[in-house]
Parts: sequence; C-alpha cells; structure tokens
Amino acid sequence: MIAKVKARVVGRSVSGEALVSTVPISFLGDVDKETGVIISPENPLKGVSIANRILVVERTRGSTVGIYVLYALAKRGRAPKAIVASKPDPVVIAGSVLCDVTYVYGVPRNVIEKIRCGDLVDVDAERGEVMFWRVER
Amino acid sequence: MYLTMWEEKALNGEFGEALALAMKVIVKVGEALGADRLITISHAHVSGISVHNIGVEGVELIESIARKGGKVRVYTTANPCSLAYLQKLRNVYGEEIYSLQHRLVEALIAMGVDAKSFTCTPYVLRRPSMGEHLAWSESSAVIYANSVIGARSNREAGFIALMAAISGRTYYAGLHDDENRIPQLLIDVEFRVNSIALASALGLYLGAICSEIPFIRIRFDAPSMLRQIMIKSMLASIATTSDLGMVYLDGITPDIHRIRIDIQSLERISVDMNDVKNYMESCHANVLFIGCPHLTVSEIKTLLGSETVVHQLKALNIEKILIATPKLTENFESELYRSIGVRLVKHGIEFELLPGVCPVVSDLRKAGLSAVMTIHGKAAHYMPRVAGVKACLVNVL
Repeated sequence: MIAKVKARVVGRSVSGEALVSTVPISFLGDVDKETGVIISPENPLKGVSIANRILVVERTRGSTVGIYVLYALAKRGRAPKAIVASKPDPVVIAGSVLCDVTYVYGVPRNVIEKIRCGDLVDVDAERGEVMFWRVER
Repeated sequence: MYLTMWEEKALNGEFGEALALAMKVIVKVGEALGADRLITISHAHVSGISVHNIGVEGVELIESIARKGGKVRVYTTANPCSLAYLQKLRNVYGEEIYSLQHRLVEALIAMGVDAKSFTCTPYVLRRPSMGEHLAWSESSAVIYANSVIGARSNREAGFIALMAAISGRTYYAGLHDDENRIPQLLIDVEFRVNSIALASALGLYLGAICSEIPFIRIRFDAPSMLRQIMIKSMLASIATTSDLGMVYLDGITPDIHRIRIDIQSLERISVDMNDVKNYMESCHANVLFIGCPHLTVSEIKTLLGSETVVHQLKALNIEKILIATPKLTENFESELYRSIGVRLVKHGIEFELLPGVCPVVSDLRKAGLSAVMTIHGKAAHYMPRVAGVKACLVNVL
C-alpha cells in the first residue's frame, strides 16, 4: 500500500485504476464531453480518456459549466468512476451529487504526488477513507 | 453540519426528489466550504443559461430537475440567455438552437423563475435590502449586491444557485459571514473617473491586482445616473479579472460601519492613469455594444439622449449600436425607438435593442459580426473568449 488517508467522500464506495493528472483539470475545455478524452494541449495526458478511471488531481479548475460536462459524460457512460482531489471544488461536488460520480477531496497534496497512473484506488465512503495500492505488472 | 428538522426531512426526500437533490448539493458544498449550518435566503439568481455555454446536456439536466418536481421556494430570477432566443434571429441561429434555448427558458419558468427576469441586473427587478442573504450567481450582480447594496451573497455557480432556489437556503460561509467581509488592502485611485470606459479599464486592472477584498478610495466625476453606470461597469470588470465577490467603495458601500478596522493600517496601493491605460486598446469595428451589465430605459436615455452622441458615434465610424437591456414591454421598446432610435437611424446608425439576452454569451460570428467596440470591461474581456469576436474598450459616450 502506498497510502491510506482520511478524506471527505461525496457519493459511494468505489475502487478502480488511477489516472493521475499532474496539472489541474477543468471540465470545461480540457475534457471532450462526448468521449471523456483529455483534449487540453497543456496536459501530458492529452488523448487519454478519463472514462471509468479514478481521476487523481491536485485540484480541478472551477468552471460553473463543468456540471453539465460531467452530466454529459455520465449519460454516455464516459464519466470517471471517481475524482480524487486535494482542494474541494463546489462545481464538482454538485456534479458528483447529480451524476453519481464519487468525489473525494481533502487528500493531502504530498499523497496525491505519490500516486501514479495504474495504481489502484479504493474509496471507502462509510469510513471516509481512501487507500492507494501499487500493483506489480 | 447542524440541520433543522425541516431540513433533515427535506434532505431525506420526504418532500420529493428534486428538493432532496437540491438540499444534498447545498449541504455537501457547504460542508466543503466549512459551513456549520444553512441560512434561508430571500432571492436566488441563476446564471449559466445560454445554450451556447451549457449545451444540450445542460438543458436536459435542468429539465430533469423540473420533471422531478423542482420548484423554487423563494423569489428567483435568471440571467439573460443567448441571442438565439430572439424570434428575429431565429433564421440566423437555426431552429435547433432556437428551440433548445426556448426549452431551457420554459423549464426555468415552470420551476417558478420570474418570467420577467432574464437579466444580469436582478437588483433592478427586486432590490434587496441591506444585510439580506442571497444566493446569486452572475459575478457582476453578486459584487453589486455586496458592495453597493450591502446584501450578502457568495459568487455561486449557476447550477448551485438553482439548487439554493429550490431549497430556499444556502450554506453559511464566505461572504454571508461578517468575518469574511473585512477589507485587507487599501487602494487609492489617484485620478477622477469621468467615463464608463475608464471605470471599466480601472475595474479590469483592480481585479488583476487584488486577490483580497480592497477598500477603494475613488472619486467619480459625473452626474448621478452616469455615475451609477460607471459603478456597475467598474464592479463587473473587477469581478471579471478576479474571484472577488465584494469590494468597499468609500462613501458608497453601506455596511462599512460594521467593519471595525483602521483603514490606514492596511497595505496601501496607489493607482494612476498609466496603470490602467493598457486596458484601452484601439480596434477597428463599426459595431458598438452597450449594456454589460444590462442598462435600464432611463440609463439608455442618459447615454444616448444627447445631440452630441450622434457626432461621437459618427466620428468613430459606428454603423450599428447594440443595446442589451432587461426584458422590455412593447411600450418601452417603441418609446426608446422614438426618442433615440429614430435620430440614430436618420444618421445612418442602426439601432438594435436586445431585451432579455446577452451578446457576450452568444455566438456572434453566426450573427455576422467579427469585431465589436464596447465601453464595458467585462464585455471586452469575454467577447473574444466566449462570443468569438474581437473586442476593444473605447472611450465614447
């Protein structure tokens, strides 16, 4: 296990594979609302889809329209399983409630920095905990 | 978080699904922002209703809330929508986007949003009283409510304001709490502000340099109606280049007495004309846009009523003037045309009123525009980013 931390969880328990963005993500402009593919040229993950992954990012960049993008993705089954962040974003909280996408915030920055793409993430909504595991492949 | 019995029941779905969802959003957002309770609000204002921005999914999501029985519990107004809403531009934008915009407006009205609203100046329809708690989105209205009226609102996301409207509540955090309304720096504006464009440029500059609430010492050199438009434009511009929800304007902000702070002890920044002149650029456009924030009928008359205006516009080669306003009755519309429009048209300047809509949130290329001049900082900032046209701030009117 890489880390186990207490965090605030909006939504239900989920587990899945981490997709780590080293730069902040905005749901308006950075993600294609049809496919879930990251389109922002500044993001090293450009071309990768967030669909059904656990998006780990220090923070999301607030855009009030982000809720509708998350809704569009959820409707097509292209939403992430969960979003794990350090800093809370009210728009993502609203999106999480309406689109049934688990949102975890309050994960310390130094923990986020340790996570790599492909790590396993386990969100326990009841305990308000999140665990990260490294898997040998 | 402490919840009243009614709030608990609402959250648990006893009063229906839409209210439960709305309460859940408000409670969860409140928890994240450190609120320990909710407060009732007297007026909600919902932004983000242009279909160009929210797309078909935005319309579907809001319709789904309406279908689940969503009804506003307090007086609620909405922002202007896209130009695509207007019958006269139906062919320009096409049937699809026209009907999508109408579906959204109808869903909002079905939930109880004031059908007479659709303006970014909700305080014109219902002026809050001092100290009142609001849940407004639309940054220019929020900063006006806090800084000029002394009411209290955070800068909400449009959808979250709709959830607050349905719950009749918002979370007690941010600018609702006196603790967070204390100025942290002192700004001295070293010149007299004598035009709307200058007030706008100053606002864009102030927003860019202030990350905390400033106490601004400023002198406006204009008659009261014009001064009012300058203040609206300056505040809207500050909110464009910053996250600020309020500023103190010396002699204007009414609840200054509540703040026990020695202004002289604050870090002081002085602003002179050189600082702001970069925000006024020249560009070639033969269309002038005014009404960001929306202008009332009497404000339009103040700006365009004089004989000299025509010469000013001619000197700039303006061929068309676009004016965004709150919804107008037919009487007002024809009166404005008679008192102002006729004279402009006689001099070869097209006069177009845009009631209840906003060009800044519309795709203006479709309407055949490529560049626009304006006197408002917020419009100059967002038009290239959102409406797809070049824009510049010019000192006219």
